[in-house]
Amino acid sequence: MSTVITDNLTGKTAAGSVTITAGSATQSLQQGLNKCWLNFEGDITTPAIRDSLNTSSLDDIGTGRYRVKYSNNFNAAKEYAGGGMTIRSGQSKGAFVSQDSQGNLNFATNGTSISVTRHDNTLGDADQVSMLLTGDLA
Amino acid sequence: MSTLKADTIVAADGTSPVTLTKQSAAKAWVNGSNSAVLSASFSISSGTDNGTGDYSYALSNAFSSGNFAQQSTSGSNSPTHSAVSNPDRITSSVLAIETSNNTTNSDKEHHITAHGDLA
Repeated sequence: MSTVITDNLTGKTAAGSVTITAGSATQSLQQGLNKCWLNFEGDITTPAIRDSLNTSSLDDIGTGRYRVKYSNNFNAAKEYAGGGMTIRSGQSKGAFVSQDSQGNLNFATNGTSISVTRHDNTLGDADQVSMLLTGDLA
Repeated sequence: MSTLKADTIVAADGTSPVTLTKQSAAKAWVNGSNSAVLSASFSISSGTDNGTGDYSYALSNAFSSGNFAQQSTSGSNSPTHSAVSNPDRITSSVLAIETSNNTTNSDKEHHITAHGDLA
């Protein structure tokens, strides 16, 4: 087994384009990398990020609703994909994170709003909220 | 600081998958409309609207099995909307999701991300 040790990996022909073998296929490396992720505590007065990549701020915009802004913007609004999950302390049932189009950022280039939906169909603050985003940065 | 410039990286034997130390990359993702139109995607060849809230997406490069990890979410401003993976349609070459309003399928834009090993 050989190992390449380097601090930066850059496309030779195009700086943002590197392909790797993945199984029998060869496909883009950077297209598959998460460009933003975060884990935050959302059931306290001021939601707090536990750990994250490429986030500049997190705001509480209502019960079960949050707004995340990025350090490095995405290339185009609504042209990236997100997903998430929540764990609500003291509640046995799970919940979903979904896009929140009532927020003032709806998968915009510089941030998005998300909501935490409980299985009783109400919005609720959650102890652990996680989200990841894939797509092209500007 | 060192910088490695390359267009394609392959394993030392010239064919095997490349290992990223202590991490992996998503192999496919899609931002789909409420009729399975691709708003943006990676490694998706086409989308199919199978009916109300029932969507599937063909992969450009198949997974080694149907046991990959798929993360799904719906675009919604209502707490009654949700999204789940659809194991009835998922195969090694297909991502699938159902979006619903309460217990009834409902058309909504949606996002899917998939991690695992390709064939």
